[in-house]
Amino acid sequence: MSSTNRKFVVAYIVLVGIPLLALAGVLKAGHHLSSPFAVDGSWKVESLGPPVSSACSSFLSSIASISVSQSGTVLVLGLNGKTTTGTLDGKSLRAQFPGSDDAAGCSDHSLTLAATVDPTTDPRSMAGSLSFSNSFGNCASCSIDFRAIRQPRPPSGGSH
Amino acid sequence: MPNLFILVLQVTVVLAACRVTGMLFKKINQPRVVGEMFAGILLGPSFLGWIAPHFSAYLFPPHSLGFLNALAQIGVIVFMFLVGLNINPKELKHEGHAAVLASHVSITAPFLLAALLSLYLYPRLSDDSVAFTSFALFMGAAMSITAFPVLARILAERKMLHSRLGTVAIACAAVDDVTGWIILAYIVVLIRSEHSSTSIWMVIGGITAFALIMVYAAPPLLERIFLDAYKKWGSLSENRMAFLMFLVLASALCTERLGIHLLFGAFLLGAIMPKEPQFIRHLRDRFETITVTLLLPLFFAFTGLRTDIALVKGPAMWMYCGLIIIVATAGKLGGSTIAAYLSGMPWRESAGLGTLMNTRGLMELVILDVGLDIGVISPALFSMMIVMALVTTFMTSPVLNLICPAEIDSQAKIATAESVAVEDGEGVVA
Repeated sequence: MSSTNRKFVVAYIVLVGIPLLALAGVLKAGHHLSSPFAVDGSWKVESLGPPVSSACSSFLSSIASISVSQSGTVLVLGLNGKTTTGTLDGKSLRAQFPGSDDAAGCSDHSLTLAATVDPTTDPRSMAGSLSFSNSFGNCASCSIDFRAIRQPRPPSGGSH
Repeated sequence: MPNLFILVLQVTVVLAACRVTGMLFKKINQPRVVGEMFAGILLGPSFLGWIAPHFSAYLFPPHSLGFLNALAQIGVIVFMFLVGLNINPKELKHEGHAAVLASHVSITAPFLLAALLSLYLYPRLSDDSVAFTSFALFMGAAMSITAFPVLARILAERKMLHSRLGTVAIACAAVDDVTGWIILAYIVVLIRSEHSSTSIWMVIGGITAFALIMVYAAPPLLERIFLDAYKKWGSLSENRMAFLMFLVLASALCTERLGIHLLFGAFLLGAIMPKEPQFIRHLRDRFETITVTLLLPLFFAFTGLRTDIALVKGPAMWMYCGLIIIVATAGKLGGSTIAAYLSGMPWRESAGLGTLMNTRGLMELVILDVGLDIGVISPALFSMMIVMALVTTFMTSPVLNLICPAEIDSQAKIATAESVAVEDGEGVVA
C-alpha cells in the first residue's frame, strides 16, 4: 500500500469511521431523553361546566374546539378565530388571549385558558377552565370548566 | 371548488414578488434563487402577515392554500426529476480520494454534530410523538444536504465547473444528495409505519423491489424510447415528452403508495435517465421554463406561508437558531474543508470546497417541507431551519469571493474530461 493510500485509509477511519460510531452512541444516548407531551392538533371541547349567568358565559360556552400548534413547550393556540402563544409546563397548559372580544361584550378583557393534560388517555384529553379576567366596565369576570379531547391527526402524505 | 380569482391573484403576486426579489438579489451577486426563497418568506406571516394582516388574510385565506400547495408540489416533483437528471452515477464511480473523503465527511460530520445538537434541542423543541432517533436522523439529513443545482450554478457563473474544485464539489454534492434522500426516505418510512397497519418489512420490500426494477430494468427501455428517438430526430416529440411526464408522475405515485414520498420517485426516475449531455440539456430546456418561472415560485411562497419567524421568539429561541446555523456551518463547511485538505488539496481550495458544500438552497426547503409535513419537526424548528438555509445559502458567494478570488480560481482550473449534465449550469434551477 502506497503512503498516499495509507494516509487516505487512516484519514477515512478517523474522519468517517469514528464519527459513525460516535453517531451510533449519540442515538443510543438520546433514547433516554424525554420531551414534552404532544398536544398539537385540534382539541374538541367535549363538556363544559354549568353555565354562569353572565354576558361572558354565552361566549365561553360557544367554544367548540381549540387548535394547538406545538414547538416543544411553546404553543400557539387558536380559539374562535383568535390566536395566542401559550406554554406547556409538564402537564400544565396555560395561555392568555389578549385584547377585546366584542362578541362577549367584554372589551379589553383577556381570556385565560388553564388546563391539565392527561397523557395516559388515548386519545389524550385535557381538563381545566376558561376564564375572562377580572371585570371593570360593563362585563363581569367569569369562568367555565371544560374538558377537551385531542382529535386524531389526518395522515400525512406527499400531497401535504 | 377553488376561488379562481384568488388563485390567479396569488400566482400573479407570487410571480411578481419572486422575480423582483430575485433580480434585486442578483444585483448583490447572489443567485436568483436566494432572492426567490426570501420573497417566499416576505409573503408569509413573517412579513406580509405582520405588516398587512388584512391584505394577507385576503390574499392567502387558509382554505385557498390547498390549491396553491397542489400546484407547488407538481413543481417540486418536476424539480426533483431535474435534480435526479443532473446526477450522473458514472461521475461518482470516478471520484478521486479527495472527493470520496470530502463527500463522506461532509455527510458524517454534519450528521454527528446535528445528532449532538439534537440531544440539546429534542427536549426543548420536539414532543413525545417523535422518537429521538427520527428527530436526530432528520436533523442530520437536513444539515448534510447540499443544494446541488445552486452549487452548479455558482460554479458555472465563476467558470469553475471544470476546475478540480468544481469537479470535486459536484461529485461531493451528488453523493450528499443521494445519501440525504435515502436517509430521509428511511425516516419517512419509519414515521409512517408507526401510523400504518402495513408491516415495515413489507414497505421496505416494496421499495427495494421498485428500486431494483428502476435501476436495472428501466434504463435500457428509457434509452430506447427517449435517447434513441432524440439521436434520430434531434429532439423529442410532444408525445414522447407527454409520456416522460407521465412516467415522472407515475414513478412519484409509486413511491408515495409504497410509503415514502412522491418526491423520491421523481428523483429516482431522473437519476436513471440516460446521461448523454446533449440529451440531458434538451430535456432540461423543455422542462425547466414552466417549472422555474411558474411552479417553483409557488413552492417558495407556500414554504414562506408555513414559515413564521415570530415563532422564534425570545433570547432562548434565537440562541437555538444561532446554534443551528453554527452547527450546520461547522459540520458542512468545516468537515468538508478538513477532509479536502487531508486529501491533498491546498487550504484555499479546501475552504472553497467547504463553502460550496455549505450551500443548501431549495433542496433544504424541500427536505424541511417533508419534515414539517410528517411532523418530525415543529413549526418553530422549521422556521429556524429555514433561517439556517437562507443564511448558509446567502453566505456562499461572499465567502467564496473571499476565499477563492478570481486569480485562485484560474490557478485551480485544470483541464478535465468533458462531463456532466450540469455542464453549463445556466439552465440549472435553484
